[in-house]
Amino acid sequence: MTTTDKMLILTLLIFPAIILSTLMMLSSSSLAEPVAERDGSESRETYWGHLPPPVDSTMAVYRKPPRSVGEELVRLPWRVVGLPFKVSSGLLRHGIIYADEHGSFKQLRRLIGPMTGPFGIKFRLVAGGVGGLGFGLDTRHHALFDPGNEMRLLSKFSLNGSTAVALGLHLNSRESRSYLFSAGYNLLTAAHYYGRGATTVAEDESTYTRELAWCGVGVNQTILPRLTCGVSAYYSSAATRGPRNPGGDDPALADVFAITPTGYGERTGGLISRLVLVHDTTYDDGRPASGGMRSLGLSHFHETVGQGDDFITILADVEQYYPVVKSGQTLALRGFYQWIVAADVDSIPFQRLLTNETPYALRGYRDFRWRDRGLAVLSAEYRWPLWASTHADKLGLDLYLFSEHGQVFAHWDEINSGNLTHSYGGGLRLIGNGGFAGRLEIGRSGEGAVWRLQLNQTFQSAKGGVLNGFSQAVLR
Amino acid sequence: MDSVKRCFARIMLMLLSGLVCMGSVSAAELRLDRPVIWHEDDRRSVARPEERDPNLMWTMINDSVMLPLSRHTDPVRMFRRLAGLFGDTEAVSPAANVNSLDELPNSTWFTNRIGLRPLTTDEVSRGPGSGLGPERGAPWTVTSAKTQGVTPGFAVRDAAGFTFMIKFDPPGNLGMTSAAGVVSNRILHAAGYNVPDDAVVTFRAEDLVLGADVKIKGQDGRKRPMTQADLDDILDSVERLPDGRHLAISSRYISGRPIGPFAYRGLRKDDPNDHVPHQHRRELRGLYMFAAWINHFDTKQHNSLDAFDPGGFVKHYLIDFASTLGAGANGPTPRYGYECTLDLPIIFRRGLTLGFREDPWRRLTRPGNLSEVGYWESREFEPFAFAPLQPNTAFANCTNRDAYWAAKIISAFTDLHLAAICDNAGYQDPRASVYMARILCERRDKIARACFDRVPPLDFFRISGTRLEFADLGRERGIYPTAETRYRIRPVLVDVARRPLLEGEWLRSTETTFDLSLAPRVRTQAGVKSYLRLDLQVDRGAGWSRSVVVYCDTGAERVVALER
Repeated sequence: MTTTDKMLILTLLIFPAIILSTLMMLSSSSLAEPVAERDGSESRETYWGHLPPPVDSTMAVYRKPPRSVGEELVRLPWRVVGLPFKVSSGLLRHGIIYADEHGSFKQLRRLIGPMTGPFGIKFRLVAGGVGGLGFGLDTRHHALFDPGNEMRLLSKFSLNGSTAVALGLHLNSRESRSYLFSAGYNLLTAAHYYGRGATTVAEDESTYTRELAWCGVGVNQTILPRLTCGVSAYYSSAATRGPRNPGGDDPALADVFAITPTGYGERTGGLISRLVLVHDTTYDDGRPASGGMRSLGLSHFHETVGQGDDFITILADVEQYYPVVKSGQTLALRGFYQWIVAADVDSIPFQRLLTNETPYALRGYRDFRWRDRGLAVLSAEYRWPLWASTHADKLGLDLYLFSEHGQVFAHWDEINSGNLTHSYGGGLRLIGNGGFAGRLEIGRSGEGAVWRLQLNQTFQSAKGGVLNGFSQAVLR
Repeated sequence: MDSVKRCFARIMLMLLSGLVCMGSVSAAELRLDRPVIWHEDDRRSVARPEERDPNLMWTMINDSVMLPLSRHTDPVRMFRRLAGLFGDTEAVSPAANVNSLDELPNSTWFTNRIGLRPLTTDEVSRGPGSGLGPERGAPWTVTSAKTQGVTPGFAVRDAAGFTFMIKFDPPGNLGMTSAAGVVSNRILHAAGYNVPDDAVVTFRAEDLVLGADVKIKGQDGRKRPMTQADLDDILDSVERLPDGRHLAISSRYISGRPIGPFAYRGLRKDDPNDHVPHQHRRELRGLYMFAAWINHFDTKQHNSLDAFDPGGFVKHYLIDFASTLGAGANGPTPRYGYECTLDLPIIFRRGLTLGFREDPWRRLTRPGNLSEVGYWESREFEPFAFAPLQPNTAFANCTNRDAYWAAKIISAFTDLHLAAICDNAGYQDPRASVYMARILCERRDKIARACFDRVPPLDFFRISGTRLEFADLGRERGIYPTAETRYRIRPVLVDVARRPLLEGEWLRSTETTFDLSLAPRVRTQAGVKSYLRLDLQVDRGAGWSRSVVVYCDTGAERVVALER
């Protein structure tokens, strides 16, 4: 074999091997090409010129540069101080994940959140006022046997022994004529009495126990668009007695007042007949920004148990909402007037007189602070949205400031600046997806500050009527 | 005595601020004699990481309360912010994965596309795949379904064997989220992010066949075999086009095995390729500006997805863009994009101002008679005021440089690009498409203006012989249409470690080129490799801007580094 032959054989052997290895290298490099954009960015000119291919010199593993000594130095005390927070955060994390995975938040949402179906039970928490801290349930059905039938059963049990249960039915609510049924029981172990009239003093505070029960029916008839006439008849029972805990911190009524008021220690019962005209131009009961509600009512009380005379109560309530600029603020104004027409006011049991029992009037004063045959109140409330989950009329939180001016009176001529009370305050209103949900409020008057967590409307109190669990036992 | 104490306190404060900020200086110490990095080495074959399934509730609480609290009490941020009052220091350290030209190398997170090279309108509007949805050769086989949630949906397999998720619009908003989802998908893809192949599709009930052994979750929460009646119920529950066809968005399943979402903070510990804490990744920081542009307010980590690529590495995707461009998975909501779900600073501000400071989103209205358009506008839009529903650590770390990087890409989208994207997104009403494109253009310009005001948009430097050429993106892209523009440049000779050796005088020009031979002569010291540092500034009538610093190897006619 000549050298030429050897070279030829070698070439024949080596050449295909070179070709093969080259092809393999090419194919492996294209397989292994780690970064190249599949749409061909590598092969195109960029604003920086031609980008180099991904080879060792143009590839890098990036890492966060280590912190400087200065940073570490500054961070050290923060880390030490923050250690408890870090541990708490870790515990919170595990707690939340555990609770979420076990469905606790879903259950909680069902209890306090918006109802997803026609029926739902919510947890209630009420605090402040003479009822004290209380818990209860709010059971609702928006379509009891029929989509137009609403039912609500409210209960509250306070730590001081007070109890309140109210059932409300609004049947045929979507039609022009609807029917109402309400029954309830309310035991208040720490009702207050300061005397009667606009000149009573806070130092005369005394306590007693009050027990109310009611049951009755009503009819609402739409006369004109947005104008409704309501007629109702209720049997009402109201009894008072000494405080549950006579030797407690609060003095008993009989210990403070040598002459106890009419009806103290007695039970009165009778029939209440009521006629109410309501003109409502608000669109909802959550965050009304415009429109208003005007109510005019006339009630007659005919006593069947007890020795009092019959009497009539006149009620006028005007509420108006004005939008302020464009950020969802609302100015809510309210004028409220109530007057008992009776031949002899002294014969009316004191528990049936007008008083600021509920937080709907004379906020900033303790419950029952004022009591007489007449009550007049002017309120202004400026509300502005603080937070809204999605839309302004959906779940959200409002902040508000209020100012309230009013008084009780026995005669017209008692209404004057000398007797007028003034209070102011503010609070937070929680709006649920289904409308108003509750408010946390602090009111301040010349007699100190009163705070309360309530689940009822101050304004629009008539809206919802019996469904809001309002006591129908007394004419308020 | 008090004055001495005050003076001492001030000095201590300044010293601490300086000490803290030294970190950023050392971090920027790049060598000029190294090549520019254009590829991140993160595609090494690794074992498949575990699937992540972060708890939604904790994520919301952590993102909305715990992490913002931690950020706002972080002393290093405070000192850096303090130092920022005296200099250019930002509250957070610079992004960790940028190259010496302040650009982002390609990686499993991001691939430079329109930011680095011109794209055709066809390329931009096609997206990552065909952009056509499932193949129409044969009926689509339904392989799974969901009835829970605001909108129902199901998965189908097409004739080619690819699986797509079909999702419908929320009630009363036919076409709104699906078209918006496609527009955002195309934009983010053209920008460089990894996204699935989305398309708006129309079909009739007879185009679907129910697959074998398909399960559905019943009202009681238990799974049972799905029937044709279930499929009919789903189709009956969604709105249709006037001609009876169904309209939906199809999203092709991404290749690789899904392993859960990526977090916007920290590392994926079981991924050895993941070296940069995510809050320090420029593409995630800069995503803030993209999210602001398209009003992508739902950027929680659950709208991202990591997939274990067949190549043996993890690839990172952004998914689900239904809540963008003023649309929302639950219907359009004006507040979204303007406030976080629980925006404590805004809540406090509202409380203190008695609500008299009007929220910009309250002025928003939807364009009349365009039912496919949600709260999509540009008048009230402020780029740096954008707020996703859940605050995001990476977004909170977005520095001016990160924002500039994003704005540079955003401004690369031309009016034609955006019109093409909207035209091909599946809007039923052509006026809606025109409107969407117009607002996109206006928001793009606002973002570019806001970012270019903070960082001079002088970019893409080239040395050609003795000439320095660069692009003024503000002028080229029409961001400052009326401004008279002039530039000045100062050459400085520096060593490898960027220490100045000799400083020249300022040269001025009204063009984006400079003849470096006119610069004062700088002498090279014997034995020391030197580079030319060029400090560039622009004046558009409001005084000279901050400097953009360019390092050149004049011998090699190469730009080797850049500082903003």
